[in-house]
Amino acid sequence: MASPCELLARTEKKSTAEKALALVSDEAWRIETKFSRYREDSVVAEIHRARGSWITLDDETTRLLLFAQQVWELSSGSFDITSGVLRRAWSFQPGSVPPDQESVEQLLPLVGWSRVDFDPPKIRLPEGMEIDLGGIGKEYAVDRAAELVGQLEGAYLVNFGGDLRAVPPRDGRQTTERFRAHDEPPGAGPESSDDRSGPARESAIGWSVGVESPLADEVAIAELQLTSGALATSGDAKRAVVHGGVRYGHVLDPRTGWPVPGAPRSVTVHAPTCVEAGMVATLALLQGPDAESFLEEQGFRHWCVR
Amino acid sequence: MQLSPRKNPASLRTGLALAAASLLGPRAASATQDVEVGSGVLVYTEPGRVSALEAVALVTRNFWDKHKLSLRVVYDTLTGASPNGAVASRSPQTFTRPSGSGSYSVKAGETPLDDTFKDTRFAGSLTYDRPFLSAGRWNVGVQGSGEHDYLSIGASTGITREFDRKNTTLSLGVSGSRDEISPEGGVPTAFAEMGAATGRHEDDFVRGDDGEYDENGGEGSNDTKTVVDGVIGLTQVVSRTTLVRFNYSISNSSGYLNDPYKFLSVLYGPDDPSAGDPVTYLYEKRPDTHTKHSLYAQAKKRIASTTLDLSYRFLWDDWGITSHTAELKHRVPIGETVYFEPHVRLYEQTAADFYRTYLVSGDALPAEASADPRLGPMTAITVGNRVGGFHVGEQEFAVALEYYHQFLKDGDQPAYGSLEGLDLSEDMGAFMFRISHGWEP
Repeated sequence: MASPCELLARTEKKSTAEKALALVSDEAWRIETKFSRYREDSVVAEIHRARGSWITLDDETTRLLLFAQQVWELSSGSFDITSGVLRRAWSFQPGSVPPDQESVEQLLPLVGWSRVDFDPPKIRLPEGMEIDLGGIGKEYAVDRAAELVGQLEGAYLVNFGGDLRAVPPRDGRQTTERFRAHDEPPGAGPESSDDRSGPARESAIGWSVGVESPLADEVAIAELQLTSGALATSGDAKRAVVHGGVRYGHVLDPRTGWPVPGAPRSVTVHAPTCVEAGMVATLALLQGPDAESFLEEQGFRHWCVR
Repeated sequence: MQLSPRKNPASLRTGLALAAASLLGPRAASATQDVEVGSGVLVYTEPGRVSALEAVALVTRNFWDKHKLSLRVVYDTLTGASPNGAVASRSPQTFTRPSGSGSYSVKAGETPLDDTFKDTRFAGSLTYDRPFLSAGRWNVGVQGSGEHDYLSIGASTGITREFDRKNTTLSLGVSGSRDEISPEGGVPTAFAEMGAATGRHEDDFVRGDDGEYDENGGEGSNDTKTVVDGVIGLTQVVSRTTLVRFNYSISNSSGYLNDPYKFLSVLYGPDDPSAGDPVTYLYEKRPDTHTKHSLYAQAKKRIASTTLDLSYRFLWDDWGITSHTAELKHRVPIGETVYFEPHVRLYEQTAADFYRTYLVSGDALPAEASADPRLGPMTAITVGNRVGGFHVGEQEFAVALEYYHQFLKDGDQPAYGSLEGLDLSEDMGAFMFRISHGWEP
């Protein structure tokens, strides 16, 4: 995930927490391995190798691409998983300068989901094009990990590099009953007691979560108690080119090939799932100066830093 | 496929929620590969009487989405002496062993105990539990157990359904079993005399079509019993700290319901010079059907960090037995996971209609009779404490120690003649020590 991944667990048993940690870690590595564009054995690399011809995808990859397609439709094309090729023109390393318009325009024909043949579960990627699930993968991993630990007893906070989701206990009256292999003596006669449920348990309190300022580490611009739902942040605080007094953020508009002017440095959104929070944060950034009004209009709790 | 983006910002939130739901919703079956392992050992001892050791192992495999398969295996072994139903006497008594070979003697004044109990039992059950419709679960299982003189096979199924945001749970279950009893020395004829005269060892007599045994000492070497149970239960969350549960259960048994190792003393009548002394011993006879009903109520309440658990059961049957069981448990945490759970249980039962302490020579034989103390009037108390929540790595342990005391009450029949001054309903005490273990690797 190219960032620290963390699980906070509040369980009755240490063993449950350890199990949760193992589940989350395994799932994070599984998704990283499967969808990373940097790995030769990933599904993404496989799709790239098959450029120009049809390839049949597994169920999970199909669902991820369908999701990406739906967001592309919903965002009028401003979110596009084929926009990664623009990185060939743009470098956000310190000291870089913005590319010239010509080199950007040369790449634009290789950008655009509408150019991809996608007939689930089959896909055909035109020559020269790329797909990049980096904009969804981490949030998807958070949600998947959350779903997994959600089946265990306890309350959890899954945090993959600042994209996080709180998992409340399975239900408010979660039992604390221990696993019992043996409860009745033989020969105890007709006396026996039915005892299969535990006592009621207090519902979980929230996790204290700080929304950090992109301008300085360890400075919280907001503190909240998260009991459920997810937070995701999109921004360019550490990946931007400043040239001629203009700041070029790393979120590029796939329709122009250029960073959206007037975008906030960072947008943090609260939504039921991490993929929703992440998508809304990214789409808000792409609204440029209208990010806040977009978020207000959509009704998501949010924190913008300009 | 050529798509063109459409602009429809108002529906973005909904559209995104739907997209996320289809991405995450039909969640590719959970990757949880849960295995839960549990085991327990129980040591049960009635000083001077029976000792038992029981070991249980349970493995549960969780798979797909909330499907569970559980395998439970039980091994137990029982040795020692248990009341044979005869009453104490002023003179020593001699009884034929159930196998028909040999005998054992009981000293004057002592409650006759059959010391030949030695049994090993294996039992196993396999249960499959899965989601059913929405908010419901369905389970189905098979079980079997075997000992040298007893074989049982059965099946069960049940459903549960949650209502009102899981605050109410309704459950229904049925189970049935078919048991085969093949006592040592064959099935004794009801009311036959103990020993050679009873006709034990005459194996090949066949039971008539009417299901009755040939009265002339005939017997089958084995017999069967059928049990059908049903239960309906309701669990209700009353508040964040209180939960109540009710259930009603019914159980019907039919077939061979006698205890093939229990006798009744036949005594000289009050007017006889040997009044109260044994004449002979007869095998018992119980009805061949038995229907039991039980009502159970339980309340659990969280008080501060402790949990109080109070339950009551009322049981009645068509044999004339009614019983009341009340139990109180209090779980008190000490430390992070360790807890104490002291408990006390009180039990009282009335005798079965056909319960007889003894029979009197010369009186007409009743239709049925048994002197099994378990069918007699009694009260009992159990006190104990359980300490659990110990962790060693992923393993969790609990230990419990209990003491059970049974106060047998005298039946309706008076002690007369030589019986006077003898303890015809001797109390019994038992200790239970249990260690249990759970593991979720």
